[in-house]
Parts: sequence; C-alpha cells; structure tokens
Amino acid sequence: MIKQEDKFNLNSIGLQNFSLNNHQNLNDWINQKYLSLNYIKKLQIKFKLAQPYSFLELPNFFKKEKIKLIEQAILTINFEKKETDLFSFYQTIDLVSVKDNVLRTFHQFISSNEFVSYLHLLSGLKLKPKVIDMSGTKYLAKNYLLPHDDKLEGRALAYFLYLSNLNIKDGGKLDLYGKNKDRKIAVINSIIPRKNTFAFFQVSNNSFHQVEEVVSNKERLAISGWFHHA
Amino acid sequence: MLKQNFLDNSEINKYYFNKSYLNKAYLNKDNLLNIEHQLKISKSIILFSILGDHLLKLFQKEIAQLEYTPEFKLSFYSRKKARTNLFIKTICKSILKNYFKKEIKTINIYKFGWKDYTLLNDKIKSPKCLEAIFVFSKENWHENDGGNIVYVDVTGMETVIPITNNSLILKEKENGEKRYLKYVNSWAKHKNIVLIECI
Repeated sequence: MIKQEDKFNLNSIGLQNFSLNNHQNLNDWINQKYLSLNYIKKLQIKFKLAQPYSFLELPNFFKKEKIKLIEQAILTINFEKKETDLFSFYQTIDLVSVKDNVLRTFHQFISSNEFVSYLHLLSGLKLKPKVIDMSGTKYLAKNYLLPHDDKLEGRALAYFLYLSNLNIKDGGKLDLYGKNKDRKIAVINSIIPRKNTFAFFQVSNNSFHQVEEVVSNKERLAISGWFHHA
Repeated sequence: MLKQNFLDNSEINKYYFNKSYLNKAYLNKDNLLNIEHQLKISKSIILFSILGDHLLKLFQKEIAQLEYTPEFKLSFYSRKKARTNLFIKTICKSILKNYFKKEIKTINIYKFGWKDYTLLNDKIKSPKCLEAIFVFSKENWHENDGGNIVYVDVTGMETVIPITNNSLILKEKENGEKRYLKYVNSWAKHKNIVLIECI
C-alpha cells in the first residue's frame, strides 16, 4: 500500500511536459518500454519506495546494438589494478578522456541534458548535466569492494551499466545495506549483474553498499560513475 | 597437565620461563639486543616461530576453545572477537615484559576468516606506541588468501606484513599511523587467522 505522502508529485518534476517527440536521443539509445509515461510513473514510485534506500534496477535498458558496441569498445581500453584497504579491482581512466568514438558518444549521451532530465524524472533529483564521472570497472576472481557509502561532496546519484552476466554463485553482486527487522545492519537488497542492466541509487549518508567478492572465473565488467547535484 | 585455574601468574611464569618455552633463539641476549636494534631502525620486526612446540600446542588449544562472537561495523570491520583468558593473558604479558620491555594495557583476541577484514578509518585514534601482535593460523596460510596486516603512516607509506603462524609482530607506531587487515578472500576457504593484539 503506497501512502499518500510517499506518492510523487509528478507535476512538480515536470512529467506533464515530458514528450517523447522532443527526445530523439532517448529514443535512439533507450528501449521503448522505459520511455512510456505510464512505466515512468511506476518507476518513480519504485525508486521512492525502494529499500533500504532509493534505487532502481532497469534490465535490458539500452538498445541491443548500442550495448554491443559499448562492450566491444570498453574492452579496447586499458584497465589498471586498483588496490586499497577498501577494494581490489581493475579500472579505466575517466572515459571523458578516451579517444574511442563509441565511448565518447556514450559519455556525451549519458551526460546530455536529455538523459539527465530523464533521470530527474525517475528520481526527482536535480542533476547537473555535462559534468559526470564515468569509468570502466573490471572485477576478476577474488576482486571486491567493501561496504562504503560513496558520500562525497556533490555526488547525487551513483550509476552502473553492467556489461557481463553473472549468476548468484559467481559472486560480484551489488549488496545494499540497511537495517533489518531486528534493527541490525544487514544486506537488505542486491543487484546481480546482468548485461545491459542500468542501475542507480541515491547517494546519502545511508547509502552503504558493497560489491561482493567474485568467486568464479567470470569477469564482472561494468561502466559506472556518479551524477552530481545541480 | 597444567590447569590454569590452579596457577597464579607467578607460577605460570616460573613454569614456562624456567623451561625455556620460548624459541631458544629469542632467549639469547645478543639476539634480543639485535632485535631491539632492528626495531629501532626499521620500526617493525617479525619474530618467526616465537613459541616453542609445547607452548604453541597449548596456545593453539586455548585459542580453539575460546568463544568467538561475530562483530560487524560498517566502515570499520568484519571479524570475530573473543574474551581473553588468564593463560593467554599471562603468557603474552610475560613474554612482552621480560623480553621486549613492553607493558601491556589491553589484550584483544580476533579471529578472521573468509569475508573478514578491517578498514582504515579516521575515527580510530592511533597514538604513538609499541604494538605487539601474536599471529596464529593452524592451517598453512598463503599470501593469496588475503589477510595481510598493513600499516599505513601519515604520508600513505605502507608496511605490509604477511601472515605467518606462531609469529610475533613488533611495530613502533608513529602518531597517526594506522593498521588494517586485508580482506580474507574465498581462497582461504575454511582457514582462519587469530591475532592477539597487545597494546
């Protein structure tokens, strides 16, 4: 049961003015299902009511042909090993600096006014266009990212585009922490990486999450980063 | 067989130290001076095979019998903690006092297995001190299992100390120098590390 106070005021975030005809880029990149106004309304509520904090997991989000090109392109970029007390994985430089045309175009689209407005519709968050962080990440066997909140000045939304398929037995899922029924800190929700799933969550003091250790020989490949507050 | 509850601290000391239950190499005065010198220069030293065979067996038995409670705190650690007992406390205190001139204020016993770790955190105070950690791992621990102990000084410089069963780590910590235990990964399977942290 959705409480009245939890309902989004769609008018307040401009849904009444949202017209697919004005958003050619969105149509070129995103699967049609995600551009239907009725479905957007459902996603708005889902985001708002998600537990332990606001997040969305959008399977089969981008057009198939786009994902294929992105996947091929990211594999041509150099991944460097990153290791601290908190993590062990491989990462590319910020994709804003790469020369590859496919990745540059993808970066331009994700940071475009249109896509940022679309995310604003889904999340209700006012995001800054043009200024995003974006890099490729690769987790091999034994790689992990331990619990942390992502909180850094200006960060509003953390996002992930998964480019490989993992099953629960492979590890590598994104675990979201919150309080369970006994008021103890525990994993409340998880996202298992599936190719072409686009996911994002609202960054806050409570947005603790981890990438579980990859325990098989599968690679966990993704593009991820942050949108910032406008 | 010794029963710890029948012995007071002095009796335990007398029994073990008269019988040289420490590795003989560490009972030699020249070697102890050398250790002190090395610690002064490099700020850390690992003493391998610190306990003699008999005391090691008793220690491992005591460690195995302790009751460990899982502890999980976001941004800090995932580990199991046990309350120390008189036997462990007395032996650790005596070794450190008699051979390394270190008085202990606190003893903490932690067990780390798969998925356990500690993190660096600004909220943890880290004053200048000589830190001593006894390390035990009944099974053969491998570097690929994770679990390395890493000291990070205020400049970000790391001192990595691999896990070795029956070793004693002595570390001259500078003000602000912190320590973490690297995530224990799935290759460790059912193996565990026990650290007796003496501060």
